[in-house]
Amino acid sequence: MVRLLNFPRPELDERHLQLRTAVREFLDSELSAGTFQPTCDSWLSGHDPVFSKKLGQQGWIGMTWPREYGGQGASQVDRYILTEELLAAGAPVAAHWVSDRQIGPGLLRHGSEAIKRRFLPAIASGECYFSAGMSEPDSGSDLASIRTKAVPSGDGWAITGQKVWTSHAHHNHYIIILCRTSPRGEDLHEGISQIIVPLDAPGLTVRPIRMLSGEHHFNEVILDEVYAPAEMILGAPGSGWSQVTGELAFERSGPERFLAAFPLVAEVVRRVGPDVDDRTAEILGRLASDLMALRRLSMAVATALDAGTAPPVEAAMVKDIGSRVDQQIPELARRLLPTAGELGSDDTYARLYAEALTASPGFTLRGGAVEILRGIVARGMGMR
Amino acid sequence: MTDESSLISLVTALLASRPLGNELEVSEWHANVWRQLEDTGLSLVGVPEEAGGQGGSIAEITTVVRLTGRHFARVPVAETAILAGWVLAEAGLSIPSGQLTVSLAGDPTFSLIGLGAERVISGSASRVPYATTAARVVVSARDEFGDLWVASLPAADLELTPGQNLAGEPRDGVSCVYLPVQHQDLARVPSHVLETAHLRGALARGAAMVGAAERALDLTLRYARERVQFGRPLGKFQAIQGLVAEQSGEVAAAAAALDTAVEAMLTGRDVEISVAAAKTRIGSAASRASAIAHQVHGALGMTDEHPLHLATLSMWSWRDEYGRDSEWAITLGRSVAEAGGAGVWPLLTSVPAPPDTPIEEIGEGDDKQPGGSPGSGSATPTQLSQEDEYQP
Ligand SMILES: Cc1cc2nc3c(=O)[nH]c(=O)nc-3n(C[C@H](O)[C@H](O)[C@H](O)COP(=O)(O)OP(=O)(O)OC[C@H]3O[C@@H](n4cnc5c(N)ncnc54)[C@H](O)[C@@H]3O)c2cc1C
Repeated sequence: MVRLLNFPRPELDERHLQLRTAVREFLDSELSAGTFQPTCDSWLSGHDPVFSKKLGQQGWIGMTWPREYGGQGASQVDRYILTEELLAAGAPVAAHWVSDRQIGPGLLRHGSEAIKRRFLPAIASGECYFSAGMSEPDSGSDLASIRTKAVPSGDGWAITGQKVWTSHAHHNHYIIILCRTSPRGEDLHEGISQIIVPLDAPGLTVRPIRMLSGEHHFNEVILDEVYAPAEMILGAPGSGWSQVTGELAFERSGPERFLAAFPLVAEVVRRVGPDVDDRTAEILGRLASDLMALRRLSMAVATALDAGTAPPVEAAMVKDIGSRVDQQIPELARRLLPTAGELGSDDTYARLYAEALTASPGFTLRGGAVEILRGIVARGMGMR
Repeated sequence: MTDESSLISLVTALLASRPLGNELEVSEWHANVWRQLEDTGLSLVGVPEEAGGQGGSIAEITTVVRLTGRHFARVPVAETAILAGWVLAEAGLSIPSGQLTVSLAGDPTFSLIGLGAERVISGSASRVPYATTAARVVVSARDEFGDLWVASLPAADLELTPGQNLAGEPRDGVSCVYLPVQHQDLARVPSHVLETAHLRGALARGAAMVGAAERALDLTLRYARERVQFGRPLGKFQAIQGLVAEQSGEVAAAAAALDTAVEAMLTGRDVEISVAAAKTRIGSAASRASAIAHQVHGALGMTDEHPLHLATLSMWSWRDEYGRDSEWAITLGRSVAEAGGAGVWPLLTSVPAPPDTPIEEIGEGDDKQPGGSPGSGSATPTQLSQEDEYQP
């Protein structure tokens, strides 16, 4: 029979409901105080340190980490609820998003005690932001082909190479550079390491790359013999590949994979009004059925993570289905309402539509392109 | 009832080894399956014991139905337990033995007339499942005052016109004219009972479709591993991998939607939107999964020698029964529109698993895997060769 998929039943209780209510109340009061405007793709576009600090004060960054490192010892399901509420509201969470989602858990798992003490509480307070330095001009999906290398220098490393598409390197404090610490051997995954580097380190240059929307989210990061002390390497030298791939279930299965365009959905529903014709109802109903199923699958992966399993195939599946649904949202909007998208417009619909549409090509690329994810799923289902 | 995994093994054992082809063998197998479902009490699971059922919950009976879908058992277990047994229990009528079926239109197609001390029923219904093999047909009727009733009618007293759906299941015409009804076979019901019956019917077809979709996926994965072209198994081709990955995702999403609807039924909360979402999502999964399964199987999948057609003909039939996915999408979409821009998110997050109502029936320590094929091994994650595959 079919391989058993690891999507355990999410068990929700009163505490989860309270958390959801608390997050909603917080967001309502921020909205009415005018501290943010809902935007699409806010986990990538909404870099707002003030807002991140407020979330940090609430204990809502790194909430799953142990208390001694600034966390709350909360569950992955708690974090699921928190993050889906933030995304649905279009809150500006980009400053800390990647640090909360994957950098922090990586440090927690592989970092030395000194690294954990130094960075985790700072991340959790919403004051310290990391970028992920993985992609390179010649290495995208084929990440193991990276050429950035670190060579021993004094009692540390000297890193030279080039990273691209580095989100928020121009705002953030640190970057984790994925690089070769020894040459590519038989096994191309050997000899890859993760090293923490401050983004203002001497020899490191950040150059903007403008997106098709004209916005500036990602960058080129050029490293010219950037020195990193030995203790800034994460885990043992050469074990970077398994460290990086080990966090996949966290990274791929979250609600940001299907809720990036949700603020547009809410606006479309507002615009079409309560009395809809059959065609409109059908389009909205199909979308709702997709989102409801995705929420359950994503929550199920969080439940599996809480049970101590890391289901990479299921996570890839959530991202594959989720990002395709999310990407269709601006197209659904066009079927229901006249569209004249305009970034920065005072017309909320025109603005949200433009934000969702211009961000949407990235949905099925970042975090693993759909084609690559499907290979992972197929192999997980026994295709070799 | 027993716990989920022993229920699954029990039913799976009972349904294993359906013959293919030979019509006589197939119909004997079905008769035997039904006998065993009755003997083991499985045909009335989910119907309260006080009413003459076997006890247990809607979760258990939908599991049985999902398994009959998976194993291509053409037996009216959904009609007997989820619909007829349930509605008779609701109406306080006795539950006869044998196969039962229903025609429970919310706007009844039968009328009940008082004729002196007697009551007689007239009307007709089309495409009634298994009417030709059932002992009784439970129909909804309206009396001359506009009140709603259910009547349990012996199939032998009805005029039956045999028909079939694409999957070869009986879908028969049923009619009667001035048929006298015993008063112990008749009860007045509030309209919500008929509305709920429609939801239960949709849930039952959803469960059966998930079973058929799981089987189609299993067949597809197996075929992709075994069939060799250009010197390689099909599953080595990236285009085929993309298709089976998509198909797997459709099955996972369908199973998730089903589980949410079952939970809603158990707790009685958000039932309509959960069932509407399930029939919508499962229906669209059935369409896409059938298309992919056939694409991967090539011409062989179109023959009656290969079992794939049993899965796809089932899905093509069931997606249109108890409301097409497009109709349920409209129902759900209306709720979304009524909820409004500020209400759509609260609506979507009201399910699954309402926190304050414990789901007793499922029992503790139950580790059913909603998205998977229960009973097929452990939940250990597969080891993947991690190549070409890391992106931030
Ligand atoms: C908005 C956004 C933010 C990002 N932020 C960051 C960041 O902060 N840090 C960072 O390191 N990176 C970041 N990335 C980069 C992202 O990880 C890459 O886009 C991704 O890894 C894909 O690589 P690529 O863009 O080079 O595409 P390529 O790998 O060149 O792929 C191009 C196309 O070819 C297909 N393809 C490639 N290989 C195969 C194959 N073997 N079989 C079939 N098809 C194949 C892909 O699926 C895709 O459709 C970001 C990307 C986006 C869009």
